[in-house]
Amino acid sequence: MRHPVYLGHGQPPAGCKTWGQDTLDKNDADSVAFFLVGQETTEVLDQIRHIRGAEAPAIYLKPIVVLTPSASGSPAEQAADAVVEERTPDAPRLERMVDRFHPINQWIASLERNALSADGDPAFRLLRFLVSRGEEVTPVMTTASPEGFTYPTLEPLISQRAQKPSLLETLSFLENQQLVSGRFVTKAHFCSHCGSAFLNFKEVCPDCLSEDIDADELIHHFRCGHVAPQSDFATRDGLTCPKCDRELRHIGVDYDKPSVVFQCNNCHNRFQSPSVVSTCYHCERTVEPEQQTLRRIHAWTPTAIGNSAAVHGMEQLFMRVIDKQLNLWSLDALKQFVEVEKARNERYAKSHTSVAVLQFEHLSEMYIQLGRRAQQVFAELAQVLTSVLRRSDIIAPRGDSTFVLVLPETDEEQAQRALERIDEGISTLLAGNLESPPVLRSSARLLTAELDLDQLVETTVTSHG
Amino acid sequence: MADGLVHFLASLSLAEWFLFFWPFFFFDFVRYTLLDLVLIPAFLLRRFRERGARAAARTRLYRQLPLVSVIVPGKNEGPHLEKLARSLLEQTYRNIELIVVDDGSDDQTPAIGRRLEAQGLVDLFIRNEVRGGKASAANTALRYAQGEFVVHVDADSHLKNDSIEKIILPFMMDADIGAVGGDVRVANSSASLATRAQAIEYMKSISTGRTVSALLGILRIVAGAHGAFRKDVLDRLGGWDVGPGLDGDLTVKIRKLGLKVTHEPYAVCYTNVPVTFRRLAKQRFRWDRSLIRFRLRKHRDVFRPDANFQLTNFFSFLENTFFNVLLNIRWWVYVTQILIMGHDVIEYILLTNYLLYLVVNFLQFGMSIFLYGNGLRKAELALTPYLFLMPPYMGIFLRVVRTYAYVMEALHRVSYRDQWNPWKVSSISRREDDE
Repeated sequence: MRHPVYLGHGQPPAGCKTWGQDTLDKNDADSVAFFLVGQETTEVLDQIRHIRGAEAPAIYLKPIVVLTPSASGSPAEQAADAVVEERTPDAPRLERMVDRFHPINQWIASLERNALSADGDPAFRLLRFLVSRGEEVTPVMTTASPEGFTYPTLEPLISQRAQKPSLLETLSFLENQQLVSGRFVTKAHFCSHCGSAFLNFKEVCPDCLSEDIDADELIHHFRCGHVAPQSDFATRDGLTCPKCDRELRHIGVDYDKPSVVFQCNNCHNRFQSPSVVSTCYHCERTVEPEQQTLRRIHAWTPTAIGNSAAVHGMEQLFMRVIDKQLNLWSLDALKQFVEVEKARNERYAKSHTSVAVLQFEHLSEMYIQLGRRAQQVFAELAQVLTSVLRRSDIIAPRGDSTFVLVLPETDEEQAQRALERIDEGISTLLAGNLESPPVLRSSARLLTAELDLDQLVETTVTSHG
Repeated sequence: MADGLVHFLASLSLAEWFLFFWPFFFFDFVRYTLLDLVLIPAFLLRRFRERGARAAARTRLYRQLPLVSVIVPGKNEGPHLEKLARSLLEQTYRNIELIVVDDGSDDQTPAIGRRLEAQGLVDLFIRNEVRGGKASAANTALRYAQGEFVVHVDADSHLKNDSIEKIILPFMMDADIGAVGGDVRVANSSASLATRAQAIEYMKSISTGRTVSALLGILRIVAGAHGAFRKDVLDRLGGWDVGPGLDGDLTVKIRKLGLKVTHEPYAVCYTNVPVTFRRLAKQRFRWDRSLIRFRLRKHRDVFRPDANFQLTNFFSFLENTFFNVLLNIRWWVYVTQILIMGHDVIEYILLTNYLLYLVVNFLQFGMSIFLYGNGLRKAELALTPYLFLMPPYMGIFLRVVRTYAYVMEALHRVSYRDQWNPWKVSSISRREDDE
């Protein structure tokens, strides 16, 4: 049974446990239903950031409820999962909240043990949070962040990381990975230099770039054909034509306004199409608007891939693709088969079997570089393997980026050649897709009775390290 | 036939000569030929005598270097703009600003204008989203013109490289000059028979004709295709008024201020004229009916002897009205007379008329060439064989069009419904003129 944990000062509400703030990672995180944070507005946001900044998913993913005498829509309240407008909520109310957060807690509990230890990557933390909540997060305009938009519930997850990438950049990275999908909400210009959303757009004189310009609406008096700025026609009573002294009463009948002409008060130039420039409030650089960054602002929901990556980790995607195409064995099964082959070769002493190890170094970096093309490139990568391997060959993954192959009726030389062909095929493929392709390590041995498979893998993986 | 003609002519007494050919002897020969023969040499002589004053004025012009605003109002004129703008770069006189007003074009003109403005070929490009008519477009340009002089140019014409200098010079010589008409010559004369006929017509009616009129002090029109005005005078008059024939209207208003209007035959502008007779007829129909409207309706006060009465204005109007309207009526009278009195010798009368007018055309053409001097181009000389076409072109084609225009305007006031002006503008001015 999980229970609420109170992180405020003073007496906790009935049915709550109290934790000291600095003991977050020393307690049993699994028993937490949600965190209750206290009333002092300034501290509450810090508390939320503290929780969301914790390393353990069992802590930073937990729901947070803010207790406040009166809700004000403050950043802290927006960042929380729920707000309770009471100083000391009673037990039934807290129980209802425990029930409400049950699905979230269950999802957190479903994460594999080893996956629960620590999450360092901000993108992954964001993804896990999004998946755990299972709801779309929508952007909110803000003047508090130079980016102009924020996602209040996500913001505390990365707010303590002052260095780049920012929240918006992290989200667009996740989108590139096809882990989240965006629904268009709005568009916004950002300073191409410093990324600030606070830009001042101004019409300026196209000649001297002065901002001191006035717009004159032209009036065309039908009767006498006189055309002049409205100011020439303006009298105390309305509009009178300076050419023929007649009063202008009805637009469309007596006169119309065919156009607008600007006048520069600095260089006295006249023009109809002023230039537009934008100045950044933050870095004060002035450039033409088309040189600023125009970004689409989205509301985000995790994709199916995202849901799976949140549970298993991002590198798992590669395995899933490979698995579909290559029919991977498990490493244990492969080891058994190796034993069988050892025995067979020994008994008949006629045939040769080789084993090989393939390792892709920096696979996750490759994943980041490829973005939305990752899935396709991985599929082509698997295709290279399929084209070189025979139906009688078997392959099993070890970890996220290492593969062990058993090649029956193949001597060491042939096995080396096969590895070379794989290396060649993969290098060609990746060189076309990546600026810095990952390093492919491989080694092959003839399968003998003495060969220790684990050792071969270890030496292959570490020998170049 | 030839024998018959000789016999017929020999048999005529002096009285009968005048009886059968009075329009030629009393009007056309005297007004258009005799005057040319006398006044063109007189003009050239005066020009020669004034050469010192002209050189001094030129020195003054280049010392003072007044800004000249070239204004180009128009609709869907985009394709011509670049050529025109580049012809301005070639001018000997350099202190020019070019203002283009796009009067509600529905083609590429706004984009072309903006591009030329960005390139610095056009100083100010004003786009009026709502079309207001030619007068309002010209007035828009006038409002933003900063020059001491304003030169109105049609977009589909181009200027000879010393044209701006030549058209401004008269202002420097005589402070009483309010407007100077530039010489309009045909750019596409070799395009068709119609353009060749018009080229000859322009030579005698504009180059020679307006030079003579100016010398007599009765010039009544400064062409829209190429006309220069003192900016202060235009401001006083409030620019152009609504209506067809606004060039003529403005000239009249300038004369009414007591200012002189002159023609400068060496400030040359080449313009494209209608290539087919059908389009030419439409163009002339529009031009001709404006005479009725502006002479006889709007400015009939020049015929009234009151405080504003001026003799030259009166004569200018009289001459114009007389030779255009009355002579047009006279022509029909003459046709009727010949049909009744000379029906048995009609072929000889027609042939004699043809020959008389042919001789006159050669004389007038010679005068134009004499006037052009160094400025004569091969294209103009090449027109000589087409002089044989001129009697029927001037005597029949243009007369019929003109009569039709006068009758239509007099009866129906069609110009108030002119397609060249938006409906809103035409309807207002029609209502006001009726008041």
